[in-house]
Amino acid sequence: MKLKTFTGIFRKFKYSALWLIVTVVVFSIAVWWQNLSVIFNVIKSPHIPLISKISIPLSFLGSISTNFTLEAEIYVILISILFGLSVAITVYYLDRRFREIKNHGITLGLIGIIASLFSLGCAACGPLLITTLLSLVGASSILAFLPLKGQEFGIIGVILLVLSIYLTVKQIEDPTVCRLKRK
Amino acid sequence: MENKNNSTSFQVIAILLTAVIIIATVYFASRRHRPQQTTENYPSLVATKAAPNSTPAQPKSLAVNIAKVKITGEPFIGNPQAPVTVAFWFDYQCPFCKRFEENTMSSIVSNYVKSGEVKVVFKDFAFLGPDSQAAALVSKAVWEAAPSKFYLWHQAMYNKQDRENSGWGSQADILALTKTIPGININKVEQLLATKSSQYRQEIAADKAEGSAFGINGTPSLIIGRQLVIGAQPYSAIKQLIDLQLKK
Repeated sequence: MKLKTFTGIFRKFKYSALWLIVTVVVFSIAVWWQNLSVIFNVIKSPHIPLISKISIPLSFLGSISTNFTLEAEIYVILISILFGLSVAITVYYLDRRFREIKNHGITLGLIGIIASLFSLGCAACGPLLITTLLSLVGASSILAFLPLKGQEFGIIGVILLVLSIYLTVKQIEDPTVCRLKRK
Repeated sequence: MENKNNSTSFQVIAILLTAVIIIATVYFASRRHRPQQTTENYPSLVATKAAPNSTPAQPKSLAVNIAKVKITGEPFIGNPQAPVTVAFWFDYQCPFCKRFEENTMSSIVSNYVKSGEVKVVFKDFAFLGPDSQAAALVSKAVWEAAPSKFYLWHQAMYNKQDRENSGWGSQADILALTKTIPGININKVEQLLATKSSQYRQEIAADKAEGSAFGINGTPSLIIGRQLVIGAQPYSAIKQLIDLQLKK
């Protein structure tokens, strides 16, 4: 069921494109991280030809094979892909929620979204804020082990991102409108 | 009800995990950005405190510019009048320096140093412990005893690299290796080590302090023109930065 929901989301071009873009951006930032100043200097320099402004940053991406251990390479690639997935699924979820606002009335829809964000008294919606935070923490672990230390955070990052994706898909399958319990 | 309990437990676990990761990340990040402290763990190997004014004080931070790098007296390969100078900070125990040596530096030497377009200046950043300090010390003596064999010796050192501060890598090991390289007078190297170790230690410490002033906190690192390149970057990236300098 969850796999069906998951594949259904990525059959839509908009979300597949978002996944790809976020993955490429996160991967590039992670690989460039130590040399972002060189990349920026090259891009903004008026003396460097346009072709070099493109080819130099691209050539620095090659450091994935020279400046990372095998474990770090795997984590950087996995975390980039998983963070892209997590962002695309979260955007899909929010898109659907905003459509609910139009269909079910502003007040109920907004309360549902806010409640799902903070997960206060709304067990059905699940903690979107927490799952989003999880994915961000998972993705930030990509920086923790650069260049040499703390590779153990890579596996935690991967686990958190997978958890985040699973929980967001679960939220998508759950009732789309929350009814808050009155005490 | 059960669903709600699961949700609350999950939030508690997630928050705890988040806190642990943030604390650990900050800890590792701060440790990584203070390589100077590594040598403080080996006080006997660090430069003995110089007499006042005997070692030039390094400014707190320097704008990255090859023109500001101290070149005089440093080991180098290539044409002394080459149009482009590359300053290279390294540690003989650093595995990424070995990788850089094999994948990138060898191509720079073949394509730019031999043609006289680039001069590579070797700057010590010996921060990985006793074996790093021992290697840096012998490197200074080898440069003084046989400058034309320095790069051959440098490559031989990377070929022998093993795990940090274990197995091969003591001064005796390095001297034994040095003996095998034709053209290096081992007696002169040993004599220089006996008489000039204190001066060499100061030079090693000064190289590292200079690198730190430019913002270098690990190896390998290079300065090409006004760019500080950190890490074992591929030849294609370094080549383009050198080409930009050659066009100036």
